[in-house]
Amino acid sequence: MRLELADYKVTRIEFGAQTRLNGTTLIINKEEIKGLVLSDARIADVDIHLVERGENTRITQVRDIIEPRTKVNGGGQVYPGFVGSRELVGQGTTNRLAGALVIVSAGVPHDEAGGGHRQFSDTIVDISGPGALTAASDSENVVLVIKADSNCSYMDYVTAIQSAGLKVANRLAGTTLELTADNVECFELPPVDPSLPKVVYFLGVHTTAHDPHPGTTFYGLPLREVLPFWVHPNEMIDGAFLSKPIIGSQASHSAYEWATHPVVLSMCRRHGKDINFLGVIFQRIRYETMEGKILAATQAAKLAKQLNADGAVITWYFSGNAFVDVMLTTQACERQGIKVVTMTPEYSNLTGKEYPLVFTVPEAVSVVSTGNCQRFQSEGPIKLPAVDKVVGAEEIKLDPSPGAPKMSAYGEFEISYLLRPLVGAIDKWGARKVTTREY
Amino acid sequence: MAKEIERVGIPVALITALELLALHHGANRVVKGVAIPHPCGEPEASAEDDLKVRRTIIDLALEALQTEIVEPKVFARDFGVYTAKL
Repeated sequence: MRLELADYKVTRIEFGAQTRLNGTTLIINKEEIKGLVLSDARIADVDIHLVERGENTRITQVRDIIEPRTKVNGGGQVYPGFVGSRELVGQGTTNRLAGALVIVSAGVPHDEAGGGHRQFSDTIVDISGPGALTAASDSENVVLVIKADSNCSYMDYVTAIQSAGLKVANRLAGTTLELTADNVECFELPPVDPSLPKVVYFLGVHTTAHDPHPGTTFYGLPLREVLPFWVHPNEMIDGAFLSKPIIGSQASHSAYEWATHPVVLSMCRRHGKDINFLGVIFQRIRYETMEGKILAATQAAKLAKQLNADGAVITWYFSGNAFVDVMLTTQACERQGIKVVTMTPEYSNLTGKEYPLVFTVPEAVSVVSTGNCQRFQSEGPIKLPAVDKVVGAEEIKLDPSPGAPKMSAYGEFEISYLLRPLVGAIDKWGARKVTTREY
Repeated sequence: MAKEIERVGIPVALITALELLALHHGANRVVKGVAIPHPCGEPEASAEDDLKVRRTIIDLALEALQTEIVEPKVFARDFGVYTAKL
């Protein structure tokens, strides 16, 4: 499976008569893009804003951040299941806009109605200042402020706002067709020097069985009770995995994060140099019984053994329940003779001195920290300054508790509990600026 | 909490779906529950069967409380009483 990822640089975005890429300036016909979003009957209204890198701007109620990508050849479409069919992706050529992002901002009709979907707490993306933790602060951004039809169901709301962003991202990447790429990177896993260590990547993915949307989709299909399966990294680069659009929650990743997964890209780029990358093993974590957890762990380890892995990297996200599965997988692999590096954030509780992991096994001897999810407790909350411009709702509720007050989005904020409303503050795949210091 | 209550001399039976996690944190009498969202019952079963499961698990917990133990034990309705290792 060979994928060419072609970059088309964008340094500026402006509105104009025709949607096209002129040099490195992306011109957008506002009415055309509005029409594309409103072609979905579940969406009542949309407004489109442009936000430049480095602006003193806060974007609120952010649901997804998406890199514009489109398939030129090779079959299928980027973000399959939402844009295009469920045909196999990961082959041929994919064009991407480098330096432009589509951001989806949408209110929460179900919360307003008292439906209690607390996952949809209001979130913020700051483009500059100490809260600028996402790729949006280094990018030119098209923000869709969407109002869903008040009559649509919970699942319709989720899929409508997610599809809208993905469709627009796909359309904007379509401006690159017939143009010459600035750079092309090739991704494939050809046979390499057999003496290189063979390494597999375990993608631990949580699911919430009791939610109508369990949290993660593969080719648009919601994943529930599913045992481990093998995935080619190119499928991920073409957006085969996507989260429910609730980024900011520790339960979710943006489309951008999925398609630029730091562990996957890094292991692809090192294939043939210092490792032999065997690909990705998807593992559903957060089974609700010990039996489910043990079965998924041993089956994942079995797949890795069958691939002749010498070593494995494991990542995960969500909460303590899911981490039990991760530790059991670590144990199952080590018992098969596969060396494991487990990447995890820490939960060091009130003082920063508590034991940071809820569960460990003696075989977990190589663990990389991706930051402390409760670091505010020892270092104080993250203080965000007031901003000049707000895109999205101007009154927001960062505390998801019922009845919590709304606040002006222009003002100063202190982000505390689990850093949840601040998109990018929890960085479980080690992509960006969050790190841990030992002292 | 189980450890702190036992520290003042009151035995504790901890009902949990994740027996390994309970043992990891030092619980001594661990009663195997059904699943994390419903440790004491089977909501998908009929009301009569749900009641049977609930009663069995509570009976196990009462049995655990009356059992002298020298090392941590799991009390399960399928495999009986056993010692589990991490």
